[in-house]
Amino acid sequence: MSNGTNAPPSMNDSLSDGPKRRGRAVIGVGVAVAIAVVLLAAGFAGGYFLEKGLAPSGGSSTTSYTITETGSTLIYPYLNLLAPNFTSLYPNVAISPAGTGSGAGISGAEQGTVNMGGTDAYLLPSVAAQYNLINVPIAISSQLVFYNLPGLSVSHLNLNGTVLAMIWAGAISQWNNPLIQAANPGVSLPSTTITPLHRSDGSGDTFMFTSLCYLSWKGWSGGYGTTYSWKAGQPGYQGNSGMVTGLHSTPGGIAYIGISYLQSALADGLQYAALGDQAANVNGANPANYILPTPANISQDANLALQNLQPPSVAISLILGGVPGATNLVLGGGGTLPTAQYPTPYPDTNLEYILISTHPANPSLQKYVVVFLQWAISTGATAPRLASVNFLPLTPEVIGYDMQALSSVQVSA
Amino acid sequence: MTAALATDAAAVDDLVRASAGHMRRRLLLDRVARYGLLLPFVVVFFPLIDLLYWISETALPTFTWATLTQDQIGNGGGLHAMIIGTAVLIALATTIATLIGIAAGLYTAEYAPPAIARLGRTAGNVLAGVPAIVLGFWGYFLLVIYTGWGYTVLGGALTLSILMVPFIYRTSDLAFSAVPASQREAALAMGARRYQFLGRIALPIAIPGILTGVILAMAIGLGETAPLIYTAGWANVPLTGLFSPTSYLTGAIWLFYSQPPDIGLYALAFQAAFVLIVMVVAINVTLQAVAEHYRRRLRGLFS
Amino acid sequence: MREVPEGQPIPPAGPAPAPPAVPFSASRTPLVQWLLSPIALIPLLLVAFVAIFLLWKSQLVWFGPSFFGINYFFDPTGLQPNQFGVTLFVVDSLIVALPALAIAAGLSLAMAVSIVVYLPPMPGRVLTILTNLLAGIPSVVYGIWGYVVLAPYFGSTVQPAIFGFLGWIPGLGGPLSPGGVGSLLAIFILIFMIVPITTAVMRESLRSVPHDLVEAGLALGATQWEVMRRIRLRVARRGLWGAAFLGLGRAIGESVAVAMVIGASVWIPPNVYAPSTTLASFIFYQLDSSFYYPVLLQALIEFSLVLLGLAVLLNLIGQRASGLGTTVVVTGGNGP
Repeated sequence: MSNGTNAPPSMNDSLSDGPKRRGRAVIGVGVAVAIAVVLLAAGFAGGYFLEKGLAPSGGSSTTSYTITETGSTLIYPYLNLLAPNFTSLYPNVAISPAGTGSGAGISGAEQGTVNMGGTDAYLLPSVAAQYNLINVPIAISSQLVFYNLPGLSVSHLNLNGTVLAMIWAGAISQWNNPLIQAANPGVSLPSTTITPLHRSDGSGDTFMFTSLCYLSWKGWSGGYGTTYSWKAGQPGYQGNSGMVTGLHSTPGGIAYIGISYLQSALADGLQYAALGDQAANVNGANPANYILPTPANISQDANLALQNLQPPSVAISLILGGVPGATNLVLGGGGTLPTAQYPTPYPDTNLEYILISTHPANPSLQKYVVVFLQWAISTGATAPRLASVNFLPLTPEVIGYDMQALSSVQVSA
Repeated sequence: MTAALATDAAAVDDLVRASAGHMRRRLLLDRVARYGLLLPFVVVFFPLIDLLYWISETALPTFTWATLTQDQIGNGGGLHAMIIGTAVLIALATTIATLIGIAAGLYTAEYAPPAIARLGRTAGNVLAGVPAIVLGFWGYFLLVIYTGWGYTVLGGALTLSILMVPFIYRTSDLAFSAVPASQREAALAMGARRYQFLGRIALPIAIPGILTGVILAMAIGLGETAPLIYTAGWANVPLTGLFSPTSYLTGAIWLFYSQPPDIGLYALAFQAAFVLIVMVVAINVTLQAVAEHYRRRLRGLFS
Repeated sequence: MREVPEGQPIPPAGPAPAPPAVPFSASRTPLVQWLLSPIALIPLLLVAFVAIFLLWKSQLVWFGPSFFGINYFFDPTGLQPNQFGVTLFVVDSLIVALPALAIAAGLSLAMAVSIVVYLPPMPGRVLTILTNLLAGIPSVVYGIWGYVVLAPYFGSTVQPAIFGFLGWIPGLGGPLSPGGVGSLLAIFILIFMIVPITTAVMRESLRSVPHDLVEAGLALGATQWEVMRRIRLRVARRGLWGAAFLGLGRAIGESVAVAMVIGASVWIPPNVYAPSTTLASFIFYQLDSSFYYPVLLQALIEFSLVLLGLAVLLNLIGQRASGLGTTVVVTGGNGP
């Protein structure tokens, strides 16, 4: 039972080293693998040329199009409502939305991997210009601040931007803090510890909420964005539904949640706050400075901000932070101050954007993208469709802006 | 080898010394171990049952035949496109991974020089431990951005296949290595050539092992979310080709669960989870049946 | 006897020191086999491809002293300097992964012993199916189950109970996390995701103990338990350690389920109840944001490289400890 004459005995040999024999089988296996590798390579190359070479020319003869969208999970259900209705008007056009996240929507639009990129946060005009993209708002959304504090004598607490920023920054840690008490005279607040919740995933809601904090309180550090370096120890949850579930099981908790989730949060026994406008940051005790997120109030905020923009732009968050007289009404777009024309604007509102290219690779498909968006902001935006996700219709100013912007898109070769 | 024998002898020696205790106490200890060691099964499977019950309880009341046969329509409909997407993704990924895995496994077991084989096996184990999120990242940059494909079925399947390769590679390697030497010698003594031995003798013996790897890899691929979200993307409609984005069941759970409960997609998330778990159970039972079938057929070969 | 090749003339007997017609020995490996040997190295090539591509993509912009620090700060507006200290995340990952592994390995060992030694074949097979089922449940389902069903229960019952009984142990003291999300819940979820792989490898290791040793022990009058403790565990020791390290790699790499229950707070938590983070879950839940902020994307690619390196390192240590690198181990399935 000698183990060969020169092969060193080892565990490995006993397992792998059968009688080796030079023969066709070696080459056979090699060839098989080579074929597999070549097939894979052909797949790569084929895909490349299919995308680069065939797709544009293929569009000339056929009349059937699929418009792809990826991005915001907030826009996703709304586009789902629009898509079948648009296809019934234009049977040769299918619309395929995908809820992969706003960041993926921006990235997809920049890289040209999709026809439309959906996002809750605007793309900075300077960046948009760099990639030949335009921000096309298709609806107005807003954000609510919910809390889990059963047994209060009022159905909506009054909270302003300064207080909210201080809560998330850790400067206010109990519900019966004098600042909260001052804004809610006559309400008996418990001494419960406040647990502020945040979104763990990248989110337009985080963008809006940190914008509000950033504008409202000088002590706010770390800026604003779809992600933020929160104070250590605060719990984060995945998605708006995670926030609703998490807040439900966190007594004393407080969270910012998109208005699409209003019904589910209310069903979970949560309550939402009336948010203070700019005046509330100065005079927090005046109840008149606190605004509820009714459709009328949300629309007022949109009108207020958008009608006063100099120069006109829709790349903004409609956040009324800061103090009256300050010039930081809008982020990204620049603009002037609100006037007293609208007395009760809800201060935490935003536009939902679709990003499209003005110099598309496939202009004949882009023609239908433009047609779809024109439809989506006008006759397509019916009240029941908007109401099912608690969105509001665009104001005439924004529609006018959209129509003008869409006319700049190249729709023929 | 001698060192190992010495250890073994020491173990038996030690055993003799330890066995000198009181007989009744020793038997009691054995009995305590026999039944006490069943406790971990309760600890592990009670939560599993709770999980399965919760999913079924949430999914079944609204589960209809249309859930399986209908496409997503607006914010409702069924899982048809996702089931197709999952099937195509898994089929493609399994095909690619099986081709690569078996070729590499066979080569490692039969042909490769010992040093290379050792390196290959180590790398195979390493590949099995590469986090899925890293592969997803890689897939996004290479197969979505760099190639310019965008989100595609092929990109998702290629990323998945890399996740699956090590399981098939290692089981194939094991299966071919475990072909009894007596079979090999008999075949070679009869004048069979190497490829004849491999094709007619080794392959049938190795098939149950390879199948184990393939089916295990499929089960693992079925449950993945992270590497697919940023490679296969998402689509409402059934896929139209290798270069279209697609939907899949894990993505349905991930995406629909975070939608507002009152608009209709939420319920689909739980139905997708239910369908997926049924698929996993089916695959596992098939795996056991296949393994058992071959175990019976090959009884006597191993002893 | 293997050295006798079929179909070849019996070599003439003689004093020649050269091995008589052993075409398959290492010293005379045919050239074509060397040339085609990359086929056996496909797994290595794949790992290398992934690593090199990510390395090329990252350009190692943040690589430096602060990258290995424990401070993380990212300002999306770019007003304040960013700090990407990856060590913080590695520590957090280990805080979650190690306890999960310790508990999972204990459970797996008991289950493997039961299946290999005590249980009749049929129940053993059913329990094997169930263990494999744990591996097949999508991680996102674990995650949802974790924060919908378990988190409230952990917040209201499990945390106070553990605090009440074991609060004196460092790391198990207060304060509690009211919503229930945190390291403790992540550890609990991870146990179920590790158990299948560790159980499978441990089962195969215990099965691979030579029968003659086991029978020798039994013949000497030892009980099954004594044979298990003194012989099987000792002989299979390396395989059991290997199982543990493969499980650790799994625990370190899990992203989706952990992201949903860990609480996403970037710090080194003072106790196991507090919200925390892990490297893999952080990469997963920051990925979408990183498409907005190129700086963050750059950092995340480097984080994923560190994650890859960590997983590879732990895996190699595990293989080294167990000797798995030189034998073949199936990390799942049911063995031959």
